[in-house]
Amino acid sequence: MSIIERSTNSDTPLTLDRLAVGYSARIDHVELNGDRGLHLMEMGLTPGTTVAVARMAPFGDPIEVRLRGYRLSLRLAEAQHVVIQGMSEEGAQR
Amino acid sequence: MSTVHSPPATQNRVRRVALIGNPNSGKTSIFNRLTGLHHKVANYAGVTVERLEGVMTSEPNIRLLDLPGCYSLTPRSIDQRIARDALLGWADDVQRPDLLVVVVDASNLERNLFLATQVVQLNLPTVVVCNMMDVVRTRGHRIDLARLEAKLGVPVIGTTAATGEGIDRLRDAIASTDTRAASACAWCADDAKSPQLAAVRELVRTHGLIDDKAVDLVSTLLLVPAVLDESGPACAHLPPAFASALAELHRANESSDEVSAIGQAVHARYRWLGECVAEVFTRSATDVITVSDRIDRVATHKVLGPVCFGAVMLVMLLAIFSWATPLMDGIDWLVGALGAAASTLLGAGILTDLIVDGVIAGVGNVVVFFPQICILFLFIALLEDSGYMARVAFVMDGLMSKVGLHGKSFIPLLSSFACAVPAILATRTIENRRDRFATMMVAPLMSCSARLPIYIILISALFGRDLWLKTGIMVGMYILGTITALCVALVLKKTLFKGPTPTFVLEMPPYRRPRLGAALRNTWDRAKLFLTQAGSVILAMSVVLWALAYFPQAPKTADAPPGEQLRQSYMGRVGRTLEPIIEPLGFDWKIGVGLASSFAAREVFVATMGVVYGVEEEADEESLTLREQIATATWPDGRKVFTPLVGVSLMVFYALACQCMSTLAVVRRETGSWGWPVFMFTYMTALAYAASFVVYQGGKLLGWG
Ligand SMILES: Nc1nc2c(ncn2[C@@H]2O[C@H](COP(=O)(O)OP(=O)(O)OP(=O)(O)O)[C@@H](O)[C@H]2O)c(=O)[nH]1
Ligand SMILES: [Mg+2]
Repeated sequence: MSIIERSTNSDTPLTLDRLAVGYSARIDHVELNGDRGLHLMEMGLTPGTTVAVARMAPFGDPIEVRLRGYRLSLRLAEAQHVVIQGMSEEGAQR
Repeated sequence: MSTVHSPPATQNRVRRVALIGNPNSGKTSIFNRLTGLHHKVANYAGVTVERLEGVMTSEPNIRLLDLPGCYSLTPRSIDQRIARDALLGWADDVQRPDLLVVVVDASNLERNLFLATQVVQLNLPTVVVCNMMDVVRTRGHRIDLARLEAKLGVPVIGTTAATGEGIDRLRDAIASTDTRAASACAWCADDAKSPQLAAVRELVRTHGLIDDKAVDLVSTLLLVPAVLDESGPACAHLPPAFASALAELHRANESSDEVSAIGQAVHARYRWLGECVAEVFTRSATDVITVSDRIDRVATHKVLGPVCFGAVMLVMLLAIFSWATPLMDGIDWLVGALGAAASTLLGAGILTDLIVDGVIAGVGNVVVFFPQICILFLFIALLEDSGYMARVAFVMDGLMSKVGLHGKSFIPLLSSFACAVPAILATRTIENRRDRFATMMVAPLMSCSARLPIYIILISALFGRDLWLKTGIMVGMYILGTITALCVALVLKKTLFKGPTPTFVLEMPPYRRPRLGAALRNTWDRAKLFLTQAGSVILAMSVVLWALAYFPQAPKTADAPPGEQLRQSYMGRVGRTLEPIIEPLGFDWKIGVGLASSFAAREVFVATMGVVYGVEEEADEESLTLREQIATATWPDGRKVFTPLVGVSLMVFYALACQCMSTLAVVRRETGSWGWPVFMFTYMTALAYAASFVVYQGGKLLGWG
C-alpha cells in the first residue's frame, strides 16, 4: 500500500487529507484563509507537529487523527488546508 | 488592582470564582464537588452550554460559576461566547470574576494548556487545576506539578474529580485570599505585532474593555476573523460602540497579514507549550494501543459501526417494552385498586366521580409510564457518559453532510430522544447560525419521551402480545421521526438556511466506564420533572376535562343509550364539532378531544382518554384498564374505533406534530423571535396531518381499514 492514497502531481504540496490510515507525517504549515486554518491551529495543528491518521468514518469522511496525545476528527475539506511532509509508518502507533 | 496586598476586609466580601477550561476536562464534575450540586456531567464536548451558578459548601461568601468549555478565548459558537463574556466581564448580567480556576485535563496536557496560558495572561488571580490525575497514573505517565507551577507562575493543584482527590486542597486555594496573578508570562513575547493590532489595542484601551495588562492578549483575540464576522456568534455582546468601531477599523484596513500574524502567535504559544510539557510530563513508554482504540475498531467500523448503533437503539426499545412491563402492570393494578377503594370509601356522588374518573383516571394513567421513561433516560445517560456520542457523530457525519449539516448536529438530535428542550439548548455548540437553526427546527421531530406513553398504550392495546412485533412498530415510529427530521433539514438547508457545508472539527474523548450512580441521579432528576408535570399540569387538565365531560348532566332515563352523558356534555358538543376535521384521519371525536387537549403537552392525551372512558363507563360495569377500553371502544354503529390502521395513523400524527409548549418557549428564547416557534408549530402540524391522512386513506384503499 502506498503512503499517499491518490497519486499526485509532484509540485502540488501534500496535504493531510491524502495521508492514508496508519501513517503519520509532520505538519509543514496550515493554509490560513480566514478562520478555518486558525481554528485548526488552535486545536494544535501547528507547524512541526506530528499527526497520524487513525481511521476513517464509514463513508470515507471525516477522518480521525491523533496528535499531541489526543484524538480529533475532521473532514477532508478541513484536512486539505494542512500541508504535511516527511511521512512515515511507525509514528502512527503512538 | 492586583490582589497581592488585598486588605483583610475583603475576606467577608462575596468573591466570584469562575471555572473555565477545555470542553470535557471535568469542570462541571469539580463544580459539583465544590458546591454539592448535581449538574449534568457526561463524556463528550459541549455538555454545559450555559452559566451555572452555585455557592461553595461551607463558604457562603464564595460564588462559583461553571462555564461552557472552550478551546481558546476566541469563541466560535454561542456556548463559547457565553464562557468568554463571563470571563472578561462583557456579559450584562454578570460581574467579572475575582478568581479564575482553569481546569486542565492532565492526560491531554499540551492542548489544554493552550487555553490555560491565555487565561493566565488575562492577569487576574488564577489557579490551575490538573484534573484526571487518575487517568495520568493508570496510563503510566508522570507529571511534575511543582515544575508546572513554576513555569506558569500560578498555583497548580492536581485533582481527580471522579474520586474527590485533591478537592480539599482546591477548596483551600480558592478560599485563601492571597491568590495572585502571574507576574510575568514567558510565552507572551512572540505575540502578534502589526499596525492593525496597534489600532485595536488603542481601541480596547479607550473603551476600557479590559485592564491594562491583558490589553495585548485581548486585542490579538479580537483580530481573529471569527470575531470580526458581525453575523458570527463571537461579535454579539461586545459593547455596541466598540463593536462598530472595530468593524469600521477592519473595513478600512482589510488584509490577510493579520491572520498570519495571529497564526504566528498561536504557533509561538504551542512552541513554548511543547517545550514546557516536555519538561513537566513524562510519557509512558507502554502507552501504545488503548482500550478506546480496540472499541473503536468495532464502533466506527464501516459496516459494524452503523450496525452497532442500530443494535444499541433496538436494545433500548426492547428494554422499554420488556423490563418495564411488570412494573407497569403493578402501577396499573395500583391505580385500579386506588379507584375502587376511593369508590367504596366515599360512596356514590359527584366527589367520587371527580376523584375516580377525573384525578385517578387522568393522572394515574400517565404515571403508569414512569418506569418506561426512567429506562429511556437511564439508557441515554449511560450512552452519554460512555463517550459513544462523539463516535455516533463521527459515524453519522457522512450521512449528515448529505443533508447539509454535520455530525455534531447529531448529538442534539440523539438527546432529543429524551426531550427536545435540552436538545435545543445543546445546539448552541453548533458554530454556524444557519446550521444551528436548521438543527433546532428539526429536533422536535425526534421521538421524545413524551411520545412514549402514546406509542406504548396504542401498541400494547392494538398489536397483541408479541414482543418483537410491538418493538418493531416502535422502531418504525423512531425511524419515521428520524428520517423526517433529516428530510426536513435537507429542505431547510436548500431553502431558508442555504449556505456552505459547515466545518466539522470534533474531539474524540476516550471511552470511560459510565458511572451508574451518576446516571441514576441524572435519570431521577429528569424523571422527577415527569412526575411534577403529572402532579401539576396533568392534574389540572384532568379536572377541567372531567368537568367538561361531566356537565351538563344528562337526564337519567332508563332508555338512554350508553354513552349519552358524554355525547351531550360540553366536551361531547365541542368534540363533535371538531369531528369533520379529523374524520379523514380515521379518528372519532373522543380522539379529537385527546388531540386538542394535548397540544400543550403530549402526555395529556393519555390522561384525556382516561377521563373520557372513565366518565363514559357505566357504574355497574366491571372496571377496565385504559388499554382494554381502547381495544374495545366502538363507533355508534358498532364498528371498532381503534383498528390497527387508526392506531398507526394516530401514532404517525403524534410522531410528527409539535405538541409541546416547553419546546416552543425554548425556541422562542433561543432564536429571540416568535417567528421561529410559529413556523415550527405550523410546519410540524401540517406535516402530521398530511402524513396521518395519507396513512389512513392509503391504508383503507389497500383494504387494511
Ligand atoms: N477518570 C476521570 N474522569 C473524570 C474526572 N473528572 C471528570 N471525569 C469525567 O470526564 C467527563 C467530563 O466531565 P464534565 O465534568 O462533564 O466535563 P466539563 O468540563 O464540564 O465538560 P463540558 O461541560 O462539556 O465543557 C465525564 O465523563 C466525567 O465523568 C477525573 O478526575 N477522572
Ligand atoms: Mg460542564
